[in-house]
Amino acid sequence: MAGILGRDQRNSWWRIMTFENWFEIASKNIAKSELSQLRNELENHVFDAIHFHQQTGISMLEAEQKAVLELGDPKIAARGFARTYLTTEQARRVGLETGSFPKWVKWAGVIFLIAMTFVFIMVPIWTSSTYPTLTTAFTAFSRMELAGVATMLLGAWLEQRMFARRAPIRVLTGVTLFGQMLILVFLANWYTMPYPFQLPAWLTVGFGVLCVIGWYFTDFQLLRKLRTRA
Amino acid sequence: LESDVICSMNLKGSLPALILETLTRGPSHGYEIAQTIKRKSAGVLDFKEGTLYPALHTLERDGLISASENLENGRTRRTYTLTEKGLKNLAEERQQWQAYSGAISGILGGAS
Repeated sequence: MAGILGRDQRNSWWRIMTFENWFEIASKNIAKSELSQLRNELENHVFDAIHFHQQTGISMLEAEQKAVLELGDPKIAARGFARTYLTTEQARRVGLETGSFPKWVKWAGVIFLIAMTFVFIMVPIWTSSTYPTLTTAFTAFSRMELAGVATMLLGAWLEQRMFARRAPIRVLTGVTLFGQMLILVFLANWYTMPYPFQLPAWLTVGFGVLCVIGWYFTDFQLLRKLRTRA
Repeated sequence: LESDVICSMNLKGSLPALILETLTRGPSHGYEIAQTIKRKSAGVLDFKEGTLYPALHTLERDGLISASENLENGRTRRTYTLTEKGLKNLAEERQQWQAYSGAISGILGGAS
């Protein structure tokens, strides 16, 4: 009788496969930082299994094939691995894979913030008589920057509370970006802002809100994985 | 057919409890745990080992088992031990399983 916690071995397409092949398929989308321990344990496991099977009098090759067969379908194992370990994408998101966080995202963020600053601060100042002097512009800008720093600290604190470890860049970026956008909009003297800038302002805020909500939901699985990491 | 029927009862969810139960005998490593479960169930619970290690690591993260590494014949072995929290969890799992299996037996056991 086939084992009830495994699949019927009659359909084992992976039956002629080395451990290397098996592991490559099973760990295809798993972050490199997660693999060393898992690989070491599975290697030990296969080593023990080969040793055990060889004692029954079969050849080394047959013993290895049996041992790999006992590991199960690598594609099914890959799904199990992805539920337990950080995937490459998730590791990139939380910054565990050094240097793998795409630089263009950071640059896009910087350009976005500069553009928003220009639109919501500089344009109203130039076009409205409410902020005719450099002093008022400087005051508004300083307040915005201080509020921005406060938002970043809030983001870092939230991450620390939620993950009890290194916080995902996503959350920090999300909270910071959202805060910055709100502050930019309201400090730019909303009522004197020229009409063409009002709609993009609200759209930007709405987009920020949706981003932050979306990120929290999609990071649910990530939260579970990071929950008890040391 | 027998295997399919038992599969449909979602026994995969029982793997953590089976691991905890196996570790009540003392510290053990992955291969030993798999072999013990297979042996004690007379080969019926022959799950694929690819699923064992994610389950072990999840239990470790949840604090139900702890792991230590030691060198054995030039290979680094990871040995798992049941924690106090794991022992309590196992007691609860046992209770739930007994209630569940008793209820099912009460219905199916009498059917003929």
